[in-house]
Amino acid sequence: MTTITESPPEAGTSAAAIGSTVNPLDRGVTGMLTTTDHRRIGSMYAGMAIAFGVAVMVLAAVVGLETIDSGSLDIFQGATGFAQTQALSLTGLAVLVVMPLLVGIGTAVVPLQVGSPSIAFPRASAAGFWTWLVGAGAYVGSFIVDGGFASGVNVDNRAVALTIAALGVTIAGLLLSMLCIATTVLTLRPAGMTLRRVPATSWSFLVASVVWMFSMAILLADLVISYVALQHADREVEVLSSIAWMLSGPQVFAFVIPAIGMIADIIQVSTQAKQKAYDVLLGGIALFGFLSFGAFAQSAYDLGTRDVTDELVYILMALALVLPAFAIFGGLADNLRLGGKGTTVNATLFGAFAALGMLLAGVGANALRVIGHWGELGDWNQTRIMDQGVMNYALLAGLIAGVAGLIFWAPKIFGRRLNDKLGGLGLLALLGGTVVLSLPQVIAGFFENDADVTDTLSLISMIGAFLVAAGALVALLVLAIGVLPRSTEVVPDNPVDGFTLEWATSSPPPRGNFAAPVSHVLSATPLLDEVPESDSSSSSEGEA
Amino acid sequence: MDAPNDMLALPPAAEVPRPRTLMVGTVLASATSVMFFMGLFAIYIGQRQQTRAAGIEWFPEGAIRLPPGGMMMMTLVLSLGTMAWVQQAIRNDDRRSSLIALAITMILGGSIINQTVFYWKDMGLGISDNPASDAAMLMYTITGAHMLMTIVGLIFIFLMTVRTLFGQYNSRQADGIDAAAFFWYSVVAVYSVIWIAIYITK
Repeated sequence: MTTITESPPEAGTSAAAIGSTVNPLDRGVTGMLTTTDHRRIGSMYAGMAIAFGVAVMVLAAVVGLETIDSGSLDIFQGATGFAQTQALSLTGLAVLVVMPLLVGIGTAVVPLQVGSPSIAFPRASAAGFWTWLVGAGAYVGSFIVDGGFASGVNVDNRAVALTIAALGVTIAGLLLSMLCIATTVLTLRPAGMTLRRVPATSWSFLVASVVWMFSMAILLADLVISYVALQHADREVEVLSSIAWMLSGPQVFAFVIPAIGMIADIIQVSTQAKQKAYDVLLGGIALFGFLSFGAFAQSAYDLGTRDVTDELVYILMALALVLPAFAIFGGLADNLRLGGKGTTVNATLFGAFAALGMLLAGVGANALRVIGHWGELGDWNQTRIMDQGVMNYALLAGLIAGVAGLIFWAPKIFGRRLNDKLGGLGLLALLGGTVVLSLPQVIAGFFENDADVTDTLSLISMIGAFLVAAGALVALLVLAIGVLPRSTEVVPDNPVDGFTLEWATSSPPPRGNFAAPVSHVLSATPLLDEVPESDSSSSSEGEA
Repeated sequence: MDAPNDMLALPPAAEVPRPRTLMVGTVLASATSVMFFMGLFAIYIGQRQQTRAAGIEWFPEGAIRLPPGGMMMMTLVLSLGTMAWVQQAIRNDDRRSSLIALAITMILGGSIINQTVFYWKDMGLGISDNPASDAAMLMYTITGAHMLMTIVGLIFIFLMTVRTLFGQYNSRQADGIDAAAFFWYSVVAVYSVIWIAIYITK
């Protein structure tokens, strides 16, 4: 049996470090600021993202309140303030909440899943987090000082420039962290773990990182041009319209690609049934990633007088996206049948199916939106509302999957188990809120200029936004209670009977992640493999 | 023969390949950088097409001249050769040659920055001189971003030079050199598109 004994220099581990306790230098505030421990970086990402989630959803609800009664309410003191706040709530859900939440989980879990002692480029991963956090702070701050996405007479152009720059920095930080995750999957796998044997979560992070890096690089190009135009060429800019592609289908689905792998792993473990068509699952995730690349669908690339969103390729991609989504759903739903009575019904399984359901609803609504636009079933404004519905379905599916993932992998990330019942309550609120927020927005797309109907639907959506905010608050509470240092609970190594390598180490994992280097991997579910008699002693040494 | 002797008779285990972490990370980062430039080029070409379709002049007559762009292209092509020399020398464990080639590559890279800044000044084209055309703004954005990429590439090469100087790379382990070379090749590849899109097709 082959055993990997060499650690890469970037891993920052040595034979002496492996198996020892948590690095004492990682304790306290200084430790937090200087840590390169991937689990700690991941948990900081996740905590900050959920905190931002509460704020962003409250903001979305207040925006909804003014949308209903813009005549008598003037919360934001004018149309400019309203537009600025709406822009913050729309973009914030992606870059301040869902993307960092998923990146955080990936940073913490992926190295464990692929049996690596650390994440690739740990210092770059930490730099990615701090870059994101500084960018996020500047982004929110820029709106407070009257920034936003549109320059004009009533707006401070320096603050608008700050908004553009801060958004760019925020995305650069996320991309840096994703690069570390992708490199971990590609280079730090143990012997025998081919890409076909990579756990679904790690695979989906690999697919997501490629799609994110390619599409977000184009977003950065848009932002750089807007910044130069505003700051150096004295041009008027309207950034939100040039980056609107990022917040609508198909690109918005790219942000939740990692959620699909997480959902698949949670469902497989909860049902205690291996996915029968594992290759199809991996292929489905890859196809979903390919079809969700939407950087080409932007107004700057319009061909002559025709919108790029009227092109056949755009319409076909939106329709084709339904296929892998339903194939993945069908395969994972089959796990319920295979699991039968052995299925563990808990918050994470509920969250996984809730997230999958919302993702499917989003993909379906996106197909309807494209058909509606193509068939001229609604005017521009109504299509925009439908865009928001699709965006909310997709991104909130990512939020639900993220919260479920945090509860599921809490023993490995925090060394504690999170409160399942309270977590379930939070997930229920998130699911209810997502439906109540997004469905009316999708329906509104079919009603042209009927103020009564759209006002009623906006009222329902506003309630949904408050529900999502409440769900995020409960999730934050669950996280805070769970990670408080007072708990003395000893968490078993594999409390969920998982199949993949992260469950082969202790909870929390030791420094270097595994007590001994990981042995040769024989399948996608190494913990279910039967180890030959002659290898049993070294195997238990390697994987336990 | 007893068991321990059996084990002694076994051939040595095959060497476990070292993970090419830095190389893979660099490939991903380079691909992201190239996509960033593709985004810029797409907007540049689209704007140029629309501006010309509206009957507006894109660049003022004579503002963009071929020789400076061609000189920069030639300089970068030369640096491709020196970078390949670095890789070949390190594979032959010829550290002296690899250091010489790295130094020449850095000089050529530095001259690209010099040539870019010189041409900006020599051109005398104001970024907001012509409100009807975004040509100057987009040209400065693209060439400025490429200059930044060149600087990043030079820093990367400098760090690898220091590592080579202290003996970290040799014929068995040249990952850092290969990574720096790959990034530098992507710098040249991006410039070749700039050369065609901005200098040749104007």
